[in-house]
Amino acid sequence: MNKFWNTRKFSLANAAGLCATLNEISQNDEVLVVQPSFLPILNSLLTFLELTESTPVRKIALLNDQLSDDLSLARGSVPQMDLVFLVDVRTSLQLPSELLDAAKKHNLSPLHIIYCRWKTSFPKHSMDSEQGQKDGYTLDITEPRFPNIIESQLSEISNEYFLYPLDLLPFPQIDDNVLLSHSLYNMEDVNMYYPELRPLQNATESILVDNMVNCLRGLIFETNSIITNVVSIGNLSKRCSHLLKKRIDEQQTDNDTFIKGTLYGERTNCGLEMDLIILERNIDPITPLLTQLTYAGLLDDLYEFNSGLKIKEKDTNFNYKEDTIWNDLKFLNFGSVGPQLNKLAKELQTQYDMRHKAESVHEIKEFVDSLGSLQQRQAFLKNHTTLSSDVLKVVETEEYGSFNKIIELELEIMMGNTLNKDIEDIILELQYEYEADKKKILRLICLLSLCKNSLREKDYEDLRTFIIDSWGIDKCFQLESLTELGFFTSKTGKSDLHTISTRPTRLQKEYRYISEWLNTVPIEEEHAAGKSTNEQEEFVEATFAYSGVVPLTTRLVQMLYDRSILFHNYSSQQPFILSREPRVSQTEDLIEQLYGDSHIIEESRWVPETITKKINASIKRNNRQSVDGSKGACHAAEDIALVVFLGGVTIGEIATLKHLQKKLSKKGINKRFIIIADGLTNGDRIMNSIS
Amino acid sequence: MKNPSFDWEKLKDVFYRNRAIGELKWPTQYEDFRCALSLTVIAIEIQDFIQIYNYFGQLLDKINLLKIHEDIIKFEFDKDEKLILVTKRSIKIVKSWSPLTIESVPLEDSILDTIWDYHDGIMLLNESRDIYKLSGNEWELLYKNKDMKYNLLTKNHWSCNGDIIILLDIDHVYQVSTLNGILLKLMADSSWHKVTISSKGFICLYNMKYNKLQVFKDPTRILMEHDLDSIPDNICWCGNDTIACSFEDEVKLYGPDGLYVTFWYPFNVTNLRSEIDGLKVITTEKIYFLSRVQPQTSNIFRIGSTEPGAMLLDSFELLEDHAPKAIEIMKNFALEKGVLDCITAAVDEFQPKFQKILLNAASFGKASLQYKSFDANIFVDACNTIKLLNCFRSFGIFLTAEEYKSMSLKGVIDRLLAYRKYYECIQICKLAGKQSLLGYVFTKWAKDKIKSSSDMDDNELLETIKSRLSVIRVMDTIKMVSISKVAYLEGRFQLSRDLALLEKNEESKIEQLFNLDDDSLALKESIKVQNPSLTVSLLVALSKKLTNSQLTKLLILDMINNPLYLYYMRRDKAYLYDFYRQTDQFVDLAHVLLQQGKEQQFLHNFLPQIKDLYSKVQNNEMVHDIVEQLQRQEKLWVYQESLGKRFGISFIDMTLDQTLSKLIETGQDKEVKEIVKKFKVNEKQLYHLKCRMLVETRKFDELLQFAHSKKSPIGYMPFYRYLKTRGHIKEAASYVGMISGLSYQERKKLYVECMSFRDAIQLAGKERDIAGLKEIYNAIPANEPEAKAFANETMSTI
Repeated sequence: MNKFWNTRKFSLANAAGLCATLNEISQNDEVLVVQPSFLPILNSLLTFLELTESTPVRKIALLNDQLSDDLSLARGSVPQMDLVFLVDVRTSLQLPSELLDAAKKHNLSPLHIIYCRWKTSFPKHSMDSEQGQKDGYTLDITEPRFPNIIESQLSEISNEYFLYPLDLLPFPQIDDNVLLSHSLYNMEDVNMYYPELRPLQNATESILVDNMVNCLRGLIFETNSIITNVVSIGNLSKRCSHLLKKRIDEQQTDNDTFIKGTLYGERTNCGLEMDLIILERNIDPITPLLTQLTYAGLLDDLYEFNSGLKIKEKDTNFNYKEDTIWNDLKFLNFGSVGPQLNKLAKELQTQYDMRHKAESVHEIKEFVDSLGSLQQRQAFLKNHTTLSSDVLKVVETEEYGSFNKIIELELEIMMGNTLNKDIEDIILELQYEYEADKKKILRLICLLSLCKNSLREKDYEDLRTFIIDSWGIDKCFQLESLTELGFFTSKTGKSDLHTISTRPTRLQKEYRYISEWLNTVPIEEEHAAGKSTNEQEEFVEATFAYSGVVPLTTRLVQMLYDRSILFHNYSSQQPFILSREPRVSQTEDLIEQLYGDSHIIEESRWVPETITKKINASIKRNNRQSVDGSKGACHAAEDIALVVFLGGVTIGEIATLKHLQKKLSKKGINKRFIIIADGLTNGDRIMNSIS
Repeated sequence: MKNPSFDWEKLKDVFYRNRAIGELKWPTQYEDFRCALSLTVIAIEIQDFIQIYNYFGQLLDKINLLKIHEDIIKFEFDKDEKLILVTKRSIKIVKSWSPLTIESVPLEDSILDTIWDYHDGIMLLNESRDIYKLSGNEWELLYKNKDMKYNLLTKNHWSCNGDIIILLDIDHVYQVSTLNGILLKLMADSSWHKVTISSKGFICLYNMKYNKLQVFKDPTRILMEHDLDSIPDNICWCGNDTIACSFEDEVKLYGPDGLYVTFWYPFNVTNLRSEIDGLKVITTEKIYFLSRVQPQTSNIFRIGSTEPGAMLLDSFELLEDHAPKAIEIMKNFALEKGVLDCITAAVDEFQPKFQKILLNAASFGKASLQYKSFDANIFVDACNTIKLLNCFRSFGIFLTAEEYKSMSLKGVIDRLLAYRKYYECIQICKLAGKQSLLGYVFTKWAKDKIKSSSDMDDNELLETIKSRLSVIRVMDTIKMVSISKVAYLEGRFQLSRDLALLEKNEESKIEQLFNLDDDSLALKESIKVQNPSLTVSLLVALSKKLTNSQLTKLLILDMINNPLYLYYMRRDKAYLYDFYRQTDQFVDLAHVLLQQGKEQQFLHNFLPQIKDLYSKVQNNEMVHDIVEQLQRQEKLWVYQESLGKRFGISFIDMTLDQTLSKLIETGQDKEVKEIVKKFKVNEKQLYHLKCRMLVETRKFDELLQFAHSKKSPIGYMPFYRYLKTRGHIKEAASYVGMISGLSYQERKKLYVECMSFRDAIQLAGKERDIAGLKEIYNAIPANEPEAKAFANETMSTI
């Protein structure tokens, strides 16, 4: 049982796997032809320089329409080159058509194809089968295997081909504790959670779940972990957790069972704990519709990160491992970024100024040695200063004056202050006066509908007519999709929807109740006061990521460990206030209120149930003592809690979960939230995918 | 306690010992019979049967030779202990006993000669003495004896092991490599009459004339030479380095320098078989195992030994009565070596009594070793091995540790399975803790069961297999699919399917179902797995096997709620279109059209069709709404066309807003009103549009008129803002006064913003706001002295 995850190892393992495969294919120079959607991921795994140094790859080409030209060019310059294709069909299932075209056109034979898959085989498990082969009792399966999905597609073309699996693990890109699996969008950039072709949703969801399960299984086996407590909220999440359990159990060897039995047996319980919390986007469709206010979130909203965490317009390196400034700033409220940058600049200046004070040769040497890192730091600082001033310009300038207006409006909607009439006027204003982006207006309309738990029939009609009148008839179908997904509904239409399919998880309550029960729009007097003093520590509530709103997901996760909010705002009948294990007991009522079905939340234990309470309590006491005693010591006993998001996570949610982690540890519950999501999302992405 | 060393014999510095391992009543009543020995069983030909016995003398199986219809020249066991029958034209390998399966490897028809002799994969022809090698299921010519280069008189005149063949010609000794068939003259001009080769390549030649033995590995260096007193019955290697000869009731082992030791037996010795670490001596009543005593064992049990092992054993024996002395002894020797010796010796013993004593001693010694300095796994492994070996012995398989190592657990199990000893196999698996092998045993059992019980019906068999399965409870290594295949070959289709469903490995389960042509079931099962890529690959495979309509039927029946295949085919719009049309999914069909329209950027043309599709759906509010919207759109198009005709401007692809704006721009008030009425345009919307349009086209007078014409439903703030954002500050100022609900400060700010200082000053003057006035004063640019003067004036009046 592994208690410490070094997530940085995962990217190294991925890169090493790729290099090994490339080296294995041939000794000749290679041209690596990469599927465009995989390129950003490849880039963030290793640089081109690293690739050429450790593998025979000399050139990289993209698997697109231009491939033919590139190929003839590359082949012309170096005749003895092998072509290696790198594809990822985990979500698309279908090979890129360009690959088949190129193979036919250039008559490539043999065809070397590296395909991505989630890491599934591990030394521990493969040993058994090797043993078996040695003993000769696997003789039966030497017969041709059932062709896998790539083989069955390749069999249509006559070329000889070799397939090499590339075992991947999700790896950190934004932060050590955030692992993205990049399975939210397929090759054609279709959102798998909200697919464009709505009738296919069932299929894309199952692919999404399958990928997430395989990804989680890979992580769990790679790190040799044992999940103890599982909570899933949402129907898809439940499916995911059941499937994960099934697949883990299938791979379980006697040895594993033995280890589990010993660690969590009847008499002994080591007290080790690892939680798995699975959430899906539908349990909180509201958060992504809000404007993000953290530094990284704003960048994502304005410029949009791609899967390699690069923004499209600027060539900025967001490598959190090297760029400590980015690492410090990314989850801060943009308001605090400026002062922070200022502080950093001053620090840098003083460090530079040290040279004047340097008198002895030794001191000068010290300074010169540190010069490299200082210069790098300076470069990063410069980068972020320009970037944030760009952001500031966008946010403040007249042309985009709508930014503040929209934030204001969001908060009003969330607080439930606005009447239907006002909102409509404001939306007209936004459309005509501010000429705000269509997506933003749609986002607001959806937000309104969600917060009001569907609109009045007349408003619904009016808004729809308005949208079609101003933007054209094709929006009619986007609205239809939004309605089906529950983003934009009318009171009558909603009940209608309900009878069609009861399956998807939907919010069923007006936001004012939610905000009241879960205190998602906390009123903080200290908020204003705190800002002037220490910026970083001051937010008592996680309201910094969105304008004064705590994301619902964050509150739901918090609820599993800490019931103080429910105690104050919902019902004083709570089974506990603080718990080290995530517990859902007595939340059924609340969940039923919110989603109309109390069964969408589910708790289970994946290790033998024992009389753990006593030990649990004693551990808790220890923890609390250590917190009281010394603040630093409490880090030692962190439990890992995997928070899985299906359908994407916003940067704001990541930031607030980090905040929650700090808050919980102050209360004596030491968790390390590792966020695993299939991709990043925000309002624009959702609106883009539903069109 | 009897010291086991009492019946040891010493040959030079090595002890040999003889241990009885099994009882066997040799069929002495028959005059003439042939037999063959293997490591674990004995085959005897009696009358018309070849019978197989284990070392307990239990009959395991038999073959009726009358059914073979050919004369058996010889029979022997191969390395895997498969019985091989040699006839004139072929060799027959007994692959399995029940049902009896015999695989024949015949000579090629072109060879007219017959088989003379066969041994260990090497066959010699009768006439030519050509040498053939068995490779796979074919004969491969190894050496062609041209011009009768050598001549072999009896079958004793040649021998082979895995690497070489020794041929004793009348005059010379030849060696043929089994690898490449190269003939080598080993010794010239020397004649011998019998040869045996040890597994390590030592060659022993015997000359009957001089009654002489010679042992060598390399003919230039003779290792040993012996003159024998009488003619031996049999010559055989004991282990791989000592030669043994049997004479009636004694066996002699020969060492260098003319040394030899003799073992006497109470019965006549009938047969010898050399094993890798000893010699099996078969007498008429009993079977003995003659082997070298391991140095560890001899160190311990030798009389007067002071080796660590012996000391440890002494110490352990003293422990009970003289504990202090026992401890004292412990200090005087290398304890770890003692422990290791005791463990090794224990493994080498056959008798549980000695095993126990030695292991106890080892365990006792081990406890006194320094913590962690000794790898306890050695001890545990030894215990396990001993347990297993004892268990094998109780089943009639006598193995030494070394033999077991070379054979592996799987080998033992295979041998037992060959004679349907399932129960014993399961015992062994459980003892060895090998769950994976248990699955193997089960698989084998189930296959045999299906093959042999032709009188049971499918359900009965399935139930039997299931009930056994529930007892075993390990599914991992059971190859249900291979059992299912057996059932299929037996013509039991239903059983085959049911068995395939029990398979744990999903991929092979689905493959088997697919191969059984049970497509629907395969599909259903694959959906249960929830692995989309597996399902899709199955579907792709099915799409190749089935016709399009069959596949569609399958999809409709089994996957109506799971559009995985459609997702896979998503780029093929025509397929989606067909599919949805066949399944009457009108809305989905419409969506496909919609996408197609978007891709071709020609949505307009698709809309009527989409509308038709939508209107086919009944009783759905939302769909109804969309149809209404589409109808409205059509109305708009019609109207736009009429407008186009009227004004000669194209209105195609314009939204309602754009149309309105265009009309406002061109000042067609009548049409504007008409549109508003016809399409029920929201008044506010109209105001915004008109306001914006008028500003954009700089029709300020009209704007003012419009503003005054009626109280604006959107207030006058938008008027102001439209003007201001487009830089018409002067015009904007005139609307500040009209905006209602503004505070003084706000209003003042607006005035200042649009540089209408005079108004601002007036306002401030009214409010008697000196500070405000000062502010305004400061905001006034230098080129407007008038305004400044007015500000001063106002200030002074206050």
